[in-house]
Amino acid sequence: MAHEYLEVLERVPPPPSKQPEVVAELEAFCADIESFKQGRLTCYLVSGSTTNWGQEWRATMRSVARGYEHVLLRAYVPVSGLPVKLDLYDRDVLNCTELGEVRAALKEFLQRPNVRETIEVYAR
Amino acid sequence: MAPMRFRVAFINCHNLYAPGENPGRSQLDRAALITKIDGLAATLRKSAGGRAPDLVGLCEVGSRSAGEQVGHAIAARKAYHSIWEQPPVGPPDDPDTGIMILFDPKLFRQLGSTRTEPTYNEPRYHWLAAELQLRRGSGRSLWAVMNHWASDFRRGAATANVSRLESAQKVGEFYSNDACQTTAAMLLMGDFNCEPYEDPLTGASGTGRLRLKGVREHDWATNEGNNLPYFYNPMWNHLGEPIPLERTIAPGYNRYSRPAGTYCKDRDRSRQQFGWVTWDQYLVNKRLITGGPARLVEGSIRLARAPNHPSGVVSDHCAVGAQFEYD
Repeated sequence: MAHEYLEVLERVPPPPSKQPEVVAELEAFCADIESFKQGRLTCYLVSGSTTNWGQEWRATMRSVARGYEHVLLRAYVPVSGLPVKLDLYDRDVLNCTELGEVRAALKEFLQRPNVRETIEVYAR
Repeated sequence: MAPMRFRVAFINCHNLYAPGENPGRSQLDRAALITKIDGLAATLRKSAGGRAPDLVGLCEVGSRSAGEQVGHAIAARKAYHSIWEQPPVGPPDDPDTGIMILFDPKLFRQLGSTRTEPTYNEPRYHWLAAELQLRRGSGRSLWAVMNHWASDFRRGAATANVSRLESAQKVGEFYSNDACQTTAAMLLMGDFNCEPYEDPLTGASGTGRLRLKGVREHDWATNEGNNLPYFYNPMWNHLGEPIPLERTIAPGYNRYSRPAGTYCKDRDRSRQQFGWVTWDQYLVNKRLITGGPARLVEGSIRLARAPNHPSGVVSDHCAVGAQFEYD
């Protein structure tokens, strides 16, 4: 067998993209929430629908004690990685054109009282 | 760029059976059925501002083909896709009705499978849910849930109310436990067989934390800290007389600008119940009010009375239309 498809995949480089970095940032966001509550909840990324804004990623929390799940936020990441649309359950979706903006928006999100309250509820 | 809009309309089709399908509830011949279907289609278009709606909810539909004929009569060019769940098998001489959702495949794509209420020993299911993704704009999705909750007519008010409370519980649980995992945007529509202020919709009675709560003020539904199934009910604005009395008794006044409800009990004189009720409603949660995949344009809600054609009643309910903005 010639493995001609494998040859194509190895020869043609992937398009330049910041997608891995953006997804890694979202994974780090989830991991820190999980570390904060030390085993009382899990937090992970779930891939959602493919939309015109890009692939949907849902930062999802799960209560260890009760098993309830809650989608904390949704991020839409295009193939090129940027701009990221962050749906933080606010009145407008945030359009982040740089990775730094994504970081800043996620930090601001974690400081909101209702977000902190939700994390506490799911960690009970 | 200005936001785009899509149109939604729904109606209770009032025993939409093909000839001979249920002689006890419909005696229409083929010609009368066509007249009824054309009347339903015209009423739905009227409620959607004179244009073919992009999303249609139908209840009291006897069969898939009957419902699809309504879609064809609204606009053949739309080539609506239909979502239908066959009702449980009932007595052979009295098959029950189902619920149908029609959508324009050029605007929406269905994601995942269709969901209905568990029916247990019920003769029919009371809601049908489908997740629809917008093909244009952001491409995000919303849940469209067409409802037809239990009616007083066949089982009595007390028993039917218990069933409606159960439906409110099931819809709320479905929203919180299942629907929110994919998209938290949900549109409830249909014939709830109760008023906006009655318990099954207000959540005033019952103990279930996840019960549906239909609220009359925006703020209750838009509270970002509240993840319970609170839905804004815009139909509070459509209760009762639309025009102040002093204007209606002035010389030259000629009829209401809109009906005083969505269903008139005038035909049911034997039960000593008269007048309009608002049983046909839209309810939207915060993701369809302030943000999310689409926003309800509250001022676009229109009630349209079905024509009472001599060959039979097209529908005893109004069609209710609404428009939604999306980016």
